[in-house]
Amino acid sequence: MMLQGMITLYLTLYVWEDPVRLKNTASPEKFAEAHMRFTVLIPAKNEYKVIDKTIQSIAAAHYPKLLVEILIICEEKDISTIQAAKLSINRSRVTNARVITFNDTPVNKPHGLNKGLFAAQEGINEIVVIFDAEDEVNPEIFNIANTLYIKDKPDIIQAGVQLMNYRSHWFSGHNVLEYYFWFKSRMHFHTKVGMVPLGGNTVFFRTNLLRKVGGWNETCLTEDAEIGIRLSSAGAKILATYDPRHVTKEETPNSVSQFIKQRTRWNQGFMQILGLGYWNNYDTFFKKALCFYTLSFPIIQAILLAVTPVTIYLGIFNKFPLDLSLLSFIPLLIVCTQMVINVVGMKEFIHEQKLAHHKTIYLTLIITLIPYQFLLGLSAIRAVLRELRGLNNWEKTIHHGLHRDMEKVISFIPEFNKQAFRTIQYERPSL
Amino acid sequence: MKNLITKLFIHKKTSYQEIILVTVLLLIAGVAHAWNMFHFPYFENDEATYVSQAWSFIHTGKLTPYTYYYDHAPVGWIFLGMWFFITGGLTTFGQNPLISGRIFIFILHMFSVLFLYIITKRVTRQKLAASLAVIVFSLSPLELYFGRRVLLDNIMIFWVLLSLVFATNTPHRLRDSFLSAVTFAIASLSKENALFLAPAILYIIWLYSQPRIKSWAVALWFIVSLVLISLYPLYALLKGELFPSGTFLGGSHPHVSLITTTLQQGGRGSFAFPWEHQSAFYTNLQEWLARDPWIIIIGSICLLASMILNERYREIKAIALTAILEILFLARGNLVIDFYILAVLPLLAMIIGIMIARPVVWAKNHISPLGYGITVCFLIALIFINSGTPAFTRDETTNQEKAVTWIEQHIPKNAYIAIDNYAYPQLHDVDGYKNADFVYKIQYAPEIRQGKYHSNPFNIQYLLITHEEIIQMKGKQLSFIEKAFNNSELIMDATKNTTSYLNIADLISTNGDWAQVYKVDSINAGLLIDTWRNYKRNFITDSGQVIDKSTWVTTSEGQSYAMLRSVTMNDRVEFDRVWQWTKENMQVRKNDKLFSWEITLDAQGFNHLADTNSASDADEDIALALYHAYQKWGDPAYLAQSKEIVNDIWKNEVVKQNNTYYFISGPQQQQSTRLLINPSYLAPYNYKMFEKIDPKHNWLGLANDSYALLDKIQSNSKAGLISNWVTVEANGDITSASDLIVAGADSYGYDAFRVNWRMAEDSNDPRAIQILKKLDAFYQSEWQKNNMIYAEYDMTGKPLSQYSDIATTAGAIIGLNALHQNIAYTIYKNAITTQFHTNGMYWGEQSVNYYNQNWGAFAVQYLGVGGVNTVGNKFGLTSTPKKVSKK
Repeated sequence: MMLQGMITLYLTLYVWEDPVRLKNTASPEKFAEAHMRFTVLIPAKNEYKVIDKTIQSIAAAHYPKLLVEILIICEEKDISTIQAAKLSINRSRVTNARVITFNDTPVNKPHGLNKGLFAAQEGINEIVVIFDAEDEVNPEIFNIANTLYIKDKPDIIQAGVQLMNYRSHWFSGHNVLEYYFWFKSRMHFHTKVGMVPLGGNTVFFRTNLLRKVGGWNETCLTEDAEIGIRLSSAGAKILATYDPRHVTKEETPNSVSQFIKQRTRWNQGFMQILGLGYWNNYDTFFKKALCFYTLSFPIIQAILLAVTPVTIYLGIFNKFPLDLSLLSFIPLLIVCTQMVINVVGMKEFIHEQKLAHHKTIYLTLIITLIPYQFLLGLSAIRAVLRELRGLNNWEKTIHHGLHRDMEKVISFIPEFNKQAFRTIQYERPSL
Repeated sequence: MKNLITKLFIHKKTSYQEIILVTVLLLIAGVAHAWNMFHFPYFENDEATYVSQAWSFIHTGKLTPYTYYYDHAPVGWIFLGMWFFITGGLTTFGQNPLISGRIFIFILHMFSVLFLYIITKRVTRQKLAASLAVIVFSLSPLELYFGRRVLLDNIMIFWVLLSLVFATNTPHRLRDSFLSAVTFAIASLSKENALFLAPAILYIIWLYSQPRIKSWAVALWFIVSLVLISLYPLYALLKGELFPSGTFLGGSHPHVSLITTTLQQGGRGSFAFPWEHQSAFYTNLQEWLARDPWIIIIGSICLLASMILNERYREIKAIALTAILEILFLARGNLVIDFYILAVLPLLAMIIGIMIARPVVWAKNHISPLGYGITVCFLIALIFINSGTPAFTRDETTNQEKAVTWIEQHIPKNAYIAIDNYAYPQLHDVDGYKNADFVYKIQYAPEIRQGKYHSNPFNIQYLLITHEEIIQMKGKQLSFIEKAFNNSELIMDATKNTTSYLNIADLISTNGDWAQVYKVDSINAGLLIDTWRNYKRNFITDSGQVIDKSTWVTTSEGQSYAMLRSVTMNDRVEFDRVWQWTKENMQVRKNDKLFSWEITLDAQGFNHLADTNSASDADEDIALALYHAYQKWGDPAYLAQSKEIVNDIWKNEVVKQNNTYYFISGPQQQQSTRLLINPSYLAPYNYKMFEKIDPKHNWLGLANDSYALLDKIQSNSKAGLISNWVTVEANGDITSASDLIVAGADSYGYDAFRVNWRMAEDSNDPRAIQILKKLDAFYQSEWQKNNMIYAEYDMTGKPLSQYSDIATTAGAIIGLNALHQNIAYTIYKNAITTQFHTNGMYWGEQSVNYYNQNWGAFAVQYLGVGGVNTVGNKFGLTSTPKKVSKK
C-alpha cells in the first residue's frame, strides 16, 4: 500500500518533478504551415443537447477548412441527434461537416469510430482525430497537432482533455483534478516510457496505422485505453501535450450514479484489457509491470477499499505487533498527502484556467476526499462484481454541457426541456 | 569519479582544482577531528545513553534498555545502531563501545563538512567562502569539544545539512524537495531541535525552486516531512502512550506518555530572559565564550551584517535566518544544555565564511596576488591559532577507563553498581554486569528504583562516581543515589592528572576527567530508623515515659531528647505520646509551666515525683521540640504550649545582672546573686527561635550574652575547654562551682561536651564557629596523640579518666563535623561504629546506656550518614548532608 501510494505520488507529480519537463509539455509557441489533413470523428448518441456547439467549435478552428473534415457518426434511429447535427451544419453553413449513420450492431462508441475511420480519406498525411459530442474544442488544436506531427513525426498525439466544472457537485473537484493530474502529468510519464492507455478524445492517429490494426475493439468498454496499449505495445510512437490554453474542455458526470456508472465502465474496460493479455507484448519488464499495474489498478482499488476499514479496526482495537499496527495507518498518511496535493493542484488548475477563485473549494476538497475515495472504491468493487457476473453492456454518461455557457446551448436546441434544465445545478466558468 | 562528484554534490562546473581543494579541506577537517578524539573530551553520559540505546535496538529490538519514556525521538540512535550492526558489534574498535560511537560521529562529521562546503558554495558561488566556512567549522574549539561526542545533535546536524544540500540543489526538482523533506524529517526524529529550522528550510526551498513548481515544492516538502514526523506521535498513540495517564484519553493505568514528556522537556528549567544572569542561556553563553569566543562574537557580528548587507542575496539571508531561528530557540528562556550550541556552529561558520570572503574577494581585485595570498594565509593561521591545543593534547578519558577496568578486575559480575552512564555500554552490554545501572535511571525509572532496588538506596553495593553525578547531586537531582553515596567509602580513586577542581565534600567538580569507585557502607544504611525503633522499644513505655534503666529514673532531659528525636524522625505518634506523658506527670509545678526534673521508679514500678525543681536545659529543649513540631505538622496547639513554656523560662530562668542576661540552671537559683550556670545549657540557637515565638522578651540579648559568657569561660582554659559548671559572681566574675556541685564541676566531661551540640546547632553564627574552633583543635590533637578522646579532662587538657565514652565522643564528633568533616568521620568510624551492635541496632551496652543511645543517634544524624536525612530535623540540617571528603 505504501509502495502504491509512492507510485501514485510520483505519477501525480511527474511533470512538475522537473521544471524542464514541465516546460516541454506545453504547446509549441510557433505553429508550422498547415500540412496534415484531419478527419474529425464525433460519435454521438442522444447528444442533441450539445452537438451543435461541438460542431460549431470545431468548424471555427483556426485551420484551413479544406484540410479538416468533420464526421458526426450516429445510429440511424437516433433521430433527434441527427436532426440537431444537421440543423447545426445547415444553419451555419459548415461546408466541411457531414453526418454518417449506421444501422448495424453493436451500438457503441468504438463501432461508430470504426464507421468513421473507414469513411475517412486515406493518404500519407491523413490523420483521424476523435472528439466527444460534448467537447469544447480549442480553435488552435489542429495547428498544434500539425506542428507536432511535422516536428516530431509521432504516430499518435494525445492532447489535453480537461473537466472544468469543479464546483457542480461535491465530487466534481476531485473529478476535475483526476483529469488534471492524468493529462497534465501522468500521461507524459506513460508516453515517455512507451506504455500509454490513451484517453477517449482529442487523440490524433495516423489513419493508415489505425486501418492497419483494424481500428477500435468494438467489444471493449474502454476502447481508447485498449487501442493505446495495443499500439504502444506494438511500438507506436506516442506524444502527449498539455497546454492549459489549448485543452479540450469537458464536464463531470452530473450525478453520483452517473459517476459510478462511468467509473464502473472504465474499470471494467481496464479489466477486460488485462484479460486480453496485451501487457505481455511489451518489450521490457518495466513496461510490462507498468501496464499490469495500470490495468489492475481497479482491482487493487477494490481490494484496498474492502480492506481499509478492516485494517483500521484491527489497528485500533486489536493488539497487533506495533510495526504492523503502524503499517495499518499508512493509508491515513497517504490520504493526508493526497489532501495537500489536491489543494495545490486545485490552486494551480484554477490559476492556469483563469477561473473564478472560490476559497471554500479547498475545504470541500479536504472534507470530500474520503467520500470520493469511497466512491472510487465502490465503483471498483461494482466493476469487479459486474465483470464476474459477465455484465459488460455500455452504461453511457449523460451530457448536459455544464462546462459551457448554457444560455447559448438552449437557443440552438428547440426541443430542449428548459424546465428540466433549471433543476440542474451548474457552473458558469469564466471562459 | 569526477562526474560522480559533480553529479552528486556540486552539480555545477567542478574543476580538478576544486576537487583537490575539497580533498585538502576534508583532510584538515578530518585530522582536526580525529587527532586525540578518543581522549578528549571526556566520555559524557549522554554519549553512552545513545550507544546503549542503539545497541538495545539492534540487540533486542527495544528502543531503550529501560522503559522508553519519549525523552527523544529514536531515529538518531537507530541510525547509530545500524552502524554497530554493519561494523559487527560494539567492540569492533576497542573494548569501550564509545570508541566505535566516536568513529561513527567522525564519519558523519566528514560528510557534514563536505555538505557545508557544498551549501556555502551554492549560496555564494565562491570557493573561498566555502573553504573558510569549512575551516572555521572544523577548527572551532567548541566543535572540537562537543562535535566529537556521540550526541544526537551531531547526528541531527548531518541530516540537516544534507537536507540543505538537497534544498539548494539547482536546477531544483521536486525530488530535491522530497529528499530534503525526508532528510529533514530524519533530522527532526533524531533531535527535535531541528524542527525550529523548518521555516528557514521551507524558505530556502521556495527560493531555490523555479516559479512554475514553487507551490509544489513547498507543499511537497511540507507534507512529506509532516507525514514522516507524525509517525513518531502515531507510534506513541498505537502504544497507548501518547496521552498522559489519568486523563480521559490516557486511561487510568500508569504509563509513560509522549505528551507528558514533551511538556516536561519543554518546561525544563525555569523561565528567564536570555539577558538575565540566572538564565540557562546566559550561563551557557559564558561557557561558550570561554571555550571559543571568536566563533560566537565574530559569528554574531557577521550574522547581523549579513541581514543588513546582503540585500540582493536572498539565499544568504535564508542561511542567516536559519542560524537566527536556532539562536532564538536557545534564547527562548527555558533549559539549554551546553551542547545545544552544536546546531548553530555550522551555520555560524557558514555566515563567517560568507561575510569574510566578501572583503577578501574585493581585495583580490584590488591588491597584489602576494598580498592576497598573505591575507588568506593570515586568516587561516588565525583560525588555527584560535583552535587551541587541549583538543589535540589533553587526556580526559584515561581516568574514566581506568575506573572501568578496575571494576572489571575487582567487583563481581552480579554486584549492584550505580554507575555514570559512560561505563554502561562496556560494563552492562559488553562485560555482562547485569546489575550495573545508570544512576539517573535508578533515580527516576520506577521499574528500576522500586522493582530492582525496592526503593532502598542501600541495596546499591557500589557507586561509580564522576563529575556528571557530582553536578547532578549538587543540583539535587539524585537524592536517592546521594543517600547511598553519603554512606559509602572510597575504594578506588582515578583522579591522576585531573584538571578538575575537586571538592567532593561540597559536591564541587569542574571537569569530567576523573572517576572514583565507592563501596556503600551497609552498616550505616537505615541507621537512624533502626536505632530509633530499638530505642523506643527499650527505653520508652507505651504511655510515653522515658526510663533510664541504669538508675530507674525518668528525667525531663530524657523526655526532651525523645521529643526532639520524634520530630526528627517525623514520628508524630511517638511525639504526642511522650509529650502527653510529660505534660501530665512533669508539668505539675504550681506557679509556672516548667517541668519537674526528676521522677523515680520504685521496685514495683510506681512513679514518685522526686524533685519538683526544673532543669532549664530540658525546659528549653521541650519548648524547642514543640515549636519544631508546630513547624513540621502545623498544629497550633504545639505553638501555644511552646509559648507558655518559653514565657515562663524567661520569667524564672533568665536573670539580668550587671546589665547582662544569664541563663541559670533552674528557677531555684533566681534568688541568689551568685548564679549557678551550666555552660552546656546555654543554647543561642534555641533563643533565636524563642525570639520568634516570644518577641516581647529580649531573647537575642540572651543569645549574645551567652556567647560572651561561653567565650569568657573558654578563655579561662589553656586547652580551650569548657567546664561542666561555673558560678557568676555579683560583679560578673566567673568562679568555680565546686562548692555547689558534688563532683566534676571544674572539669570538662559529661555536661560540657554538649556545648559542641549547642554550637553546631547555630553553626551559621561566627561566634559559635569561634568556640568550636578551639574545641576542635583540642579534639584533633587528642585524636592524633591517643587515637581516642577521653571522657573527662581538667581545664589544662589533662585526662581525668582513662576511658572514652560514646556520649562524650559523639559530642566531639558533632563539634568537629561543623569544621573538619573528614576527622569527624574518621572518629565516628573508629570510635562509634565499632561499638555498634548490628544484631540489636544499639551502641554499647543496651540495658544501661540510655544517654549513649541518644548521643550515638545525634552523631549519626549530624554526620548525615544515617540515611534518613531527608525527613528534615531540628538540627538545622536542611541543606544537603555532606559527604566526608576523602581527598
